[in-house]
Amino acid sequence: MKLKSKNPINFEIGQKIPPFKVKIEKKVYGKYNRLIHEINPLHFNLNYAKKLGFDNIVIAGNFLFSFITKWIIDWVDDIKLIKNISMQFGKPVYIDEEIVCKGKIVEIQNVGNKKIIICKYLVEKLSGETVMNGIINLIFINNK
Amino acid sequence: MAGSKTQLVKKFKTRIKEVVREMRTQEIDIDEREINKFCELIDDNNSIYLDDAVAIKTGYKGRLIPPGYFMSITNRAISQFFIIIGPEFYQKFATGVIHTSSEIEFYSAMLLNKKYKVKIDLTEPVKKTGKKGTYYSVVFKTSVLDENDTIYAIDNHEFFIKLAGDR
Repeated sequence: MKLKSKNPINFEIGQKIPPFKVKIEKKVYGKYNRLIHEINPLHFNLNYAKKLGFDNIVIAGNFLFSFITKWIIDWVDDIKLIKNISMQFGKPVYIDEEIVCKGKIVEIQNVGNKKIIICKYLVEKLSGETVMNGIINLIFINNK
Repeated sequence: MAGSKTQLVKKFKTRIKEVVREMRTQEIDIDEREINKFCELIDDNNSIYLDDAVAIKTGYKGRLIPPGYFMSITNRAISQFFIIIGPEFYQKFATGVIHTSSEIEFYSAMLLNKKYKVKIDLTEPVKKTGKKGTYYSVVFKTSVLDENDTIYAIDNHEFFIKLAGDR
């Protein structure tokens, strides 16, 4: 199936989503926390994070989510296609760590005039530890 | 001992519901500066978030709020819960809170320069026991709506809350 977008993609079961790598730097994360008025000290106070048993300041799930949607939108080139995203958190991501988003299409459903493309994804540290995983459903409506 | 624990759980459930009721809906203002900054931080140069002319040419009424910013909006609303409940939350009830999962549903693209509000509904806390002990799972169903109550997106934001005395 080919989508109408600037860069049409053929979707097939088993197809991999091009991986996306990002390093969340302390300076950038600090600016993000100020932007959203973060109040949870786990995300900006090293002593607090260590007191709770973490090795460093923990990156919030909402910031990680920003990269998941960017990754998928950059791939499909259309923001309307994302219908839902599930996220299960695993190991914490610390500041200055690099993560890689990987995923693939596991199912394509035809429902009326809709094609639902179901992708499984995971986010790993470079060490291979899983920090997040879930499912992304993309919906393509065929108007013909 | 068991009786006091039952009382604590009951008070915890009652109090979190009271706070969410007190919060009702919150109006949110998201301006261009905020979205420009967000896009810069995540290195997203998609013009539909940054340029009205491009967004209009693409078929929208103007610039859009990146879908990736949605959870930053819901997070802000949920933070209000913790601000309102205040120190009482840790003094009386919880010894730990962790965001364990989210299920996000998108319904419509969010236009920038439009008024939105956030509404939170709470699920009944469910007791769960696993490798890391006993927790209560609480889902904050956080919806972003416009003035006409049209829903743009929902985040089912799940926390595991460890209550005092639980292992």
